[in-house]
Amino acid sequence: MSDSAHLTEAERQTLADGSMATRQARGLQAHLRACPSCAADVDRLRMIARRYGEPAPRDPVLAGLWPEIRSRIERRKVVPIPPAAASPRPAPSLRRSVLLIAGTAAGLAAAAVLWLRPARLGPGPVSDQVRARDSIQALVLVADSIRSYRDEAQVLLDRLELQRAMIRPEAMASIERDLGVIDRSIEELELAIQRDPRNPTLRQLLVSSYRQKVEVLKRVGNAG
Amino acid sequence: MPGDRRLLLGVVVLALGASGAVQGPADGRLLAGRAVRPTVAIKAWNAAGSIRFVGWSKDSVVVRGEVGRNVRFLLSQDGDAMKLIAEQERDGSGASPSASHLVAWVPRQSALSVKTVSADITADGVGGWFYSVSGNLRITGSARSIEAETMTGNLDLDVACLWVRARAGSGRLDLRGATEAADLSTISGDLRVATSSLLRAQIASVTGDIRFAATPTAAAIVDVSDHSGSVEVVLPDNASAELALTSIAGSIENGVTGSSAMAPPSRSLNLRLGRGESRFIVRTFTGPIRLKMQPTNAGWPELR
Repeated sequence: MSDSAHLTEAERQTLADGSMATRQARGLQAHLRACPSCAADVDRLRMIARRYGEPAPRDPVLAGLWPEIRSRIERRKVVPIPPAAASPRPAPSLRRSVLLIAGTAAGLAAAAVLWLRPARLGPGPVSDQVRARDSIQALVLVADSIRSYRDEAQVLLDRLELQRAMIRPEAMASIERDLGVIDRSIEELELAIQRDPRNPTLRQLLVSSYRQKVEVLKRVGNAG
Repeated sequence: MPGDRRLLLGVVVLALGASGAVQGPADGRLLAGRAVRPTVAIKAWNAAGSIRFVGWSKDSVVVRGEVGRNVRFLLSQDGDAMKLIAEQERDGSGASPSASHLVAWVPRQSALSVKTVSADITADGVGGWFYSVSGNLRITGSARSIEAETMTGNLDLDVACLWVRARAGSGRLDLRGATEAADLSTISGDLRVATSSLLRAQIASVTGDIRFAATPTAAAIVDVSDHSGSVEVVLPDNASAELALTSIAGSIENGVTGSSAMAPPSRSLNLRLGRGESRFIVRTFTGPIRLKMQPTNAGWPELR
């Protein structure tokens, strides 16, 4: 500790971020107990460090691995969806988790179909029967994907309500503006789907809008 | 601070002073300098003003700049992680945070995690995660991967990078340079892509206009979705691509001459250019789709 009555800046910062040696930190704890000014400052620094620490960004190592992982996923994408079998209804909380997991899996599979489907436009004959089967399968998968995104968006909207007071007003205004734009597009698409339920493009656009909504809501965590 | 580390830091600071061509007083006063591992993870926070990162080949971090009034500057290190924070002293006063203008030189292989409220972010030759509520982001140079998000600011990416994920709200998003995989979206901001190295791209907007102007790579798959904004695809006249363009209620303008349509249903246009080695899927709800060709020798106009 310095000769002055208070802890030095370095002592306060290293105490706050936990990088001070234990023995030295123990010695300074006595001063903190006796000095409300230093104690408040160290608490504040800890709060800043804690607040800054959330949410954790993506692991840089994982981010570097992502392109290879993505390409491996693309190679292995298969979409065998067995016909739904009758099964007892699980408990509500479990059912929601199962729905979310299944929906996410279906969403990934749908994305795979949408992503890879244009490959079928390549040279070589593709029978009408195969096209029709693919089209129906794609419709089912896209519908599952929409359901999955819709559920996820609702969970995130509930969370947004809880976090609303902690979000900066300018960020909240921006979030609400963006959500308004997306919700209008979703309304238009849902109306159009009611008129033309078998149109795959409408459903793919709806998936895209829901995906945008989920991503805006996920960004809320960063806007605090 | 142990003696050897203090000595090392002294050497670093002296060395930095000697390499004025890279950084120097023109960037503001020296705020801090630390010796680090080349792969250090750096979290940075600056609410207002600007923060610029420059990747360099030294194993050290140096920060220069001007710290705003009542702003506490902190550069702390814990193993391979480092925090660079410019934080307003008093929160809750209602006053806007004072602007700090920081420039940090960091190892090229370091991984950044940068967050601001209104401060602009600039990075050159270093990758990571970049987020701002309303600040503009400009990222250039080579990096391993880049994730960039802003709610109302503009995003300008001119990078050589394997993987880019970028999100903008009402601001503009530009991607140039050389990127293999890109996942790009805006809500109402315009989105422009001019990179000829893409292998996979997912590009989406809700009401913003999308413009793709580049030579597609063989085997590339580019997926474009827009609700009510327009989509313009500009390809060179020797492009080798298959295109599936669909608009529910918008027009499709085919600027390609001599192309052969493939069994077009209503409101959609499928066509093949050359050997059809790359694939474009474009879909809109009400936005128009325009397909244009550009003479090969015309080059690509730089995005401004």
